[in-house]
Amino acid sequence: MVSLEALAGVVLAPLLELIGAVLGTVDFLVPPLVPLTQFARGVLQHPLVNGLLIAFIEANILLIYITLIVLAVTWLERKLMGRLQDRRGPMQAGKFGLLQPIADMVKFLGKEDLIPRKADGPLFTLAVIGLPCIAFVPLALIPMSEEFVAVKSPVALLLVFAIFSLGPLWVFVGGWAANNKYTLLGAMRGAAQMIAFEIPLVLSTVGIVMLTGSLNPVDIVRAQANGVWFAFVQPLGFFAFLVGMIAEVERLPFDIPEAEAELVAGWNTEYSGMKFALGQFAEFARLYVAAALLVLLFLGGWNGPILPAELWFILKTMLVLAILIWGTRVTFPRLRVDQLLSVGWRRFLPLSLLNILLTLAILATGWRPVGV
Amino acid sequence: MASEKARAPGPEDEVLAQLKARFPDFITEGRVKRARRIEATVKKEGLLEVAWALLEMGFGHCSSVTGVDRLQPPQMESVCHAWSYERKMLVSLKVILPRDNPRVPSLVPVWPGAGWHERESWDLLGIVYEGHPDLRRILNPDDWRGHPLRKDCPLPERKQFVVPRNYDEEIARSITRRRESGYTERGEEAPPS
Amino acid sequence: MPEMWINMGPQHPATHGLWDLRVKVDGETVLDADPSIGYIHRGIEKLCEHRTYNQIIPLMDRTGYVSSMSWAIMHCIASEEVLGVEVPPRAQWIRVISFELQRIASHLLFVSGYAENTGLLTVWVYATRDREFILDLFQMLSGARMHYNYPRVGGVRWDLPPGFAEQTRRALDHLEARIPEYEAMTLQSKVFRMRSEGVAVLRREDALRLGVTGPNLRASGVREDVRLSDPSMPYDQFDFDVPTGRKGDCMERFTLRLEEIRQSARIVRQALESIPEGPVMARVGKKIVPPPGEAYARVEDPRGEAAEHIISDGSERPYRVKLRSPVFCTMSALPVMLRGVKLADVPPVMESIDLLIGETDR
Repeated sequence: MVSLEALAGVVLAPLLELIGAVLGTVDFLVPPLVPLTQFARGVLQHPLVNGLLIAFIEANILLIYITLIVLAVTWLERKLMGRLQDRRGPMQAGKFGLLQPIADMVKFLGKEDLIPRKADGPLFTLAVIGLPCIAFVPLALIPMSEEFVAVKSPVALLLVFAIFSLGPLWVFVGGWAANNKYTLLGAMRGAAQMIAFEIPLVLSTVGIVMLTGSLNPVDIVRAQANGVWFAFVQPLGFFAFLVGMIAEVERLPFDIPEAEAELVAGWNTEYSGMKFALGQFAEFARLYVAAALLVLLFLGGWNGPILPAELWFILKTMLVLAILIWGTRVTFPRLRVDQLLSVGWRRFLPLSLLNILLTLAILATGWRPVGV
Repeated sequence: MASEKARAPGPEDEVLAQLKARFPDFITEGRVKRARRIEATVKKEGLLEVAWALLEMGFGHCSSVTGVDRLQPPQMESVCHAWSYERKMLVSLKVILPRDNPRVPSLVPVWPGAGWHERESWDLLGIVYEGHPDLRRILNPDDWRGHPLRKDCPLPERKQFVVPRNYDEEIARSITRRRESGYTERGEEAPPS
Repeated sequence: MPEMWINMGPQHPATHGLWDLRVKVDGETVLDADPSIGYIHRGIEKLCEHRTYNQIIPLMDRTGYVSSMSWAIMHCIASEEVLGVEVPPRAQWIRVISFELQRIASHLLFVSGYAENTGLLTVWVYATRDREFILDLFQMLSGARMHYNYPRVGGVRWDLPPGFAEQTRRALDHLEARIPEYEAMTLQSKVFRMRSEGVAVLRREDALRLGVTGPNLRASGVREDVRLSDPSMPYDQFDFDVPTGRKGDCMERFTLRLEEIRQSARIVRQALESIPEGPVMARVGKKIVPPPGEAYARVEDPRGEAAEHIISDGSERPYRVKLRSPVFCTMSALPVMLRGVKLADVPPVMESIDLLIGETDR
């Protein structure tokens, strides 16, 4: 088990040594600057600065991690979809097309960055900066093992949901700012969809919170350490969460905000080049966060034999993503917006409420399915 | 594809006889061309009445409405083909119009499916369908002038393109010529000569 | 949100061709629609007036580029009627075979297009892939995959190549095994049914009134097939069903075409069994000069009733050619079908009438 903080410390130590060596050289070469270098040493040793440096490095580690994950997921999706649809997927860039995501990145970077003349320029740009930010922040709260987490918060679950549901807000901002009918309709749909599925999504996790008595994912995973995953204890909640999650990250049966058949590309019709890439990036990051939440809450988190905890976590998450691609992306047509809303409000909201009631009833009998 | 002579009188002749008996003034000419094909020439004034009668007789499907531009003698024909799903035969109603100002009543009240055919016929041949609810151009742009399917529509001259022996030089020369004449691509500044 | 007009086209992923559908929406509900065509009008009817009868055949291939064979055969039938020649039976049979193979290929493209417009990308890929087998057959037959230039006035260009029958049977075996797979992914999919059932209902009387023909008319409950009611090819020699629907919604139009693929395969099999020996060209001269006259030939195109009104003035070029495109007429019924559906249903509805802009614009 690796601690994120320890990892950051390992990275920080040589950095500090390097800075110290530089300062020493300055002392030796320019003696009059000695008071200044002494002050710099003092600042560096200050616990607040040290903490900030650690946090900065932790953030960078997470950023690199999510970037790698996104590249892997894009490759996985294209390859898997290609196989399932009797195509080959990417072949040319590297072995098995492994370099395809990088080639895509280079292509996106090379494209012209357009802002429509009648668009609200600053807002248009801001939306596509805000969206990845919102998508990345939950990563800090999602533990990959008991120690591998940036922010240890007792209400991490609540925070993750709160931040996660800000995503469609940026979608709406971007769709509105682009001043295009397709983007506007896509943004409206995104907002409607968010409202319809956010509530069942959050409510479906209430059962688990009631069972474990904690909003901390670490506690929730600990409760599943005996091998009884909450997916079996809370099948209704699991189902509601799975569907709500797919709807939240706007994947195929529910990808109506960017339905390419009628809305060209939905809210990101007008984005080009790196802005479009950032939008896609945020989408995959959200997908990863959703899959990670599913693993944490329902699939036993990092618990598993032999392999280290972090590896189990990544493996499970990737498996969930692969199953999502196979089970939804290539199997289902797109739902219509009114059908989607009706499914959200009339099926999944009662389902998650029913789940809460059942859990309450079970708890009232005094029976505990898990060793909490 | 039965030939014309060998055909025995059939239901087509009955339909034609009925039509002729009902509209002796309007139908100037009529014949059964082959099995399942009836041709009739109708006067302009009686077209709508004949069409209504055909609809009553079961000719519910307007297969097409089109025009023919004749130069010898100068006249315009508007031809409507109506098919009957029950009787399984096709009636062609031909209306002969003056070439300089062809106007004919629209068949949209009888067969709404004729609407786009009449728009096309107006667009390409310039036949005015009186009473058509939405007689706009359909295939050509709205600001198009003239009616391209008319026989006197000016055609672009056909030029035989011969690949010159020194093709590349020719191309290079033509590009230089174009540059020198001040032609610019994509609005870029004309090169200072 | 106030009412607004949305342009679906001319550049839009759902239009499958260059045309423009302006839809007036109130939020997500479509209030009105106005199709606008002509973006690829090439003046084919005018071009025909300047070509000899056999030179028109490649033009016909390009008129309806997804069902080239049926348009070329239709032109040959019309020309033969003006000319007054009988086509030898073997050529008739070959025409039936190629016509029905063309119907299969065209319907497969419909299946893939419809699936794509509902968001079901897998069926899109599958159907396009299976269409390749039919295109391979056409390549064997004519040397081309899309614009065949195969039928001729008076027959067909050449006889069936050796091994064609076996190859065709193998392709059809493969295809018939595939159709249940499509059905499993579409008809048995709850989401697909939600998207298709009861959407854009075209009532029987509306369909008749507006001149809708072919599979779209049959889906609305009219059992009408030009192959049987106005035959110009020996379809009475074969045993096949004309699938007819009742409801006239998108689902009906989709299932009906899947069934038509099966029936076409049946016809092709029978035709391969019973094909007579003999010449494949009638005795027409090298220079085709029909007597003055007119003909109106109708065939059952994969999209409906295609017809050609050809007028000869006794020269070697037709005086006037009018092409009746089935999609042209079906598209004029599109506003009726679209009123009241949701915006998300517009692409599937557009595709459910099996659009082909090449023949609408001509």
